[in-house]
Amino acid sequence: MIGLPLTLVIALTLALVFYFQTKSFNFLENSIIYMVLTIITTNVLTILSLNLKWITTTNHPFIFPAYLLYRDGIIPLLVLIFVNGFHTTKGLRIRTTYFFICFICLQAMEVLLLKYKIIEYTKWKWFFSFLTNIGYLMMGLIIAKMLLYVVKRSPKNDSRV
Amino acid sequence: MTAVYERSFDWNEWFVIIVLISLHALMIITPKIFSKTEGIAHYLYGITIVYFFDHTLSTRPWDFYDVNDNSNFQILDFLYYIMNGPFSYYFIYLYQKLKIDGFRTILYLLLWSSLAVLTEWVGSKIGLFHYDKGYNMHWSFPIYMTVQIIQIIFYQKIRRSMDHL
Repeated sequence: MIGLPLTLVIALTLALVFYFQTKSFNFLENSIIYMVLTIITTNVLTILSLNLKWITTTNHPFIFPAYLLYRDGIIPLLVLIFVNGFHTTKGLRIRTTYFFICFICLQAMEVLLLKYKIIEYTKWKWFFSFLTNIGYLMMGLIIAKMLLYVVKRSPKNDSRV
Repeated sequence: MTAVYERSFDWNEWFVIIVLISLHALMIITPKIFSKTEGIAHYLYGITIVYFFDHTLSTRPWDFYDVNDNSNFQILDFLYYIMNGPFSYYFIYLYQKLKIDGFRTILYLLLWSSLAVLTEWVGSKIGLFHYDKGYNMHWSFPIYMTVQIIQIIFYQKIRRSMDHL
């Protein structure tokens, strides 16, 4: 039962990290990136659990919110932190560091969910999980790039709407 | 265990396709009153919210209802989620266009929530929704009202932020 409070604390901490972080995208743009990411994560996790049955989610109604927090809170927040951090920093080394920190956090979250049986692998493998988490981070960058194209501005413009 | 309700291409499929195409066509021809990003945000809001509720309430362990012909996630389910984008867009479009404020907001919310329940009722009659475990559309009314209130707060937050620029 410790899985839910632990996930809740992690989600709240990430929300605070994101809140205090120096952002290169304004409120509206971050909202768009967040919504697209939740749509993607929901699609991916539903297809994996419901259609392909490669993972199973908990059947416990009181632990299930931890899975929702992971799907709609933790993954999009980590990607948002990465995307904003990526665009506010210069240089390959710091950007790569940002990438690895967020990637490790995503992997660690999956370990935690497995440990507390919030999700279970049936046909899913660690390697696939590696690829999916890299995919989430890359998707974040692609969405941000598309958004910058739509609003036609440079990522360094720190306008906070 | 996958629940299968029907396999034919009938009214629920046509309903989604007709509403999807007609509302998107309407979005293209109606005059734009939002910036690109603001329009996109309100459009995405509807899709995101429906995704969240459907993929939360209609999956295990709660599994209160299924969407379309079976309990699995299908292409038509995806189209159904996209179909909800114009609803949230027009909800806030008319809110701004009609300059709704003060107590009139309550009436506006009640009207839109009723319209949403009516659409859901049509959906349940043509096989778009299949309720389970005693769930019915009475529960949907407060859900619609809550997400619409959040959308108005979201809209006000965006407006206030724009004023600060």
